[in-house]
Amino acid sequence: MSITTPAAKTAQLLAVLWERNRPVVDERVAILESAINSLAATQILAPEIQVDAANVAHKLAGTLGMFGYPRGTELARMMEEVFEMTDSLTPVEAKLLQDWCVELKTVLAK
Amino acid sequence: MRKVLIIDDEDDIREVAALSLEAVAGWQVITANCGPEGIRMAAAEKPDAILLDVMMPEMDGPTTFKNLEANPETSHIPVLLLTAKVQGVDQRRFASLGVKAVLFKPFDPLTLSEEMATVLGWTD
Repeated sequence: MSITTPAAKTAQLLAVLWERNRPVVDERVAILESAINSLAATQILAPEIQVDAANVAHKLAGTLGMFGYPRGTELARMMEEVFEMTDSLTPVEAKLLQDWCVELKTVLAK
Repeated sequence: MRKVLIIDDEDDIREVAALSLEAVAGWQVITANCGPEGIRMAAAEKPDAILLDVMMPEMDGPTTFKNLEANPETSHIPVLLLTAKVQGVDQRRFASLGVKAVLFKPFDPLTLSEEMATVLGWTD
């Protein structure tokens, strides 16, 4: 059956765009994961890495919900807020980031 | 046919927004991946509205908007800011710039055009 409604056509094209943009999303998640692992291992994060992580989390927050991953947007937004803190990140925050990153990967794997 | 210019440095946002406005609303969409290119396209193409990202390298959305406002060729074009910043202080700052509206990412591709049409008073 051919797809006729604008909504159905949009949904179909969105799925195509998601697959096409998936490598960029995976790359951004990997950047977050690397920063979080570094923080967890050393308890410090270089300022430039923290800024990069905040920017990447911001981009993910702005796009994942658009592709049907609202929880992905929520998790990315929480990570962005933590990375945007100017104070040094604490072990508690590092653990939160680790948990959110694991959940984000799980959400995106579905 | 309505013509909308999308200015955003993110490929996926441009693609999904364009898809949404073209497929759902039937509008013509043109895109630019940075502020300076968007300013040039706005002057050349005279779109009916501009969807403008806030956070872009080189020239951010608010600066791009000020440039559009300063040019008599583009100052009349309504601009809708698009942002993933959800904190109230950011929202108030963006709204105070004088843009037509502030829309938020992530948007729903199926309702983005409806949201824009409402803000712009495009009832046809």
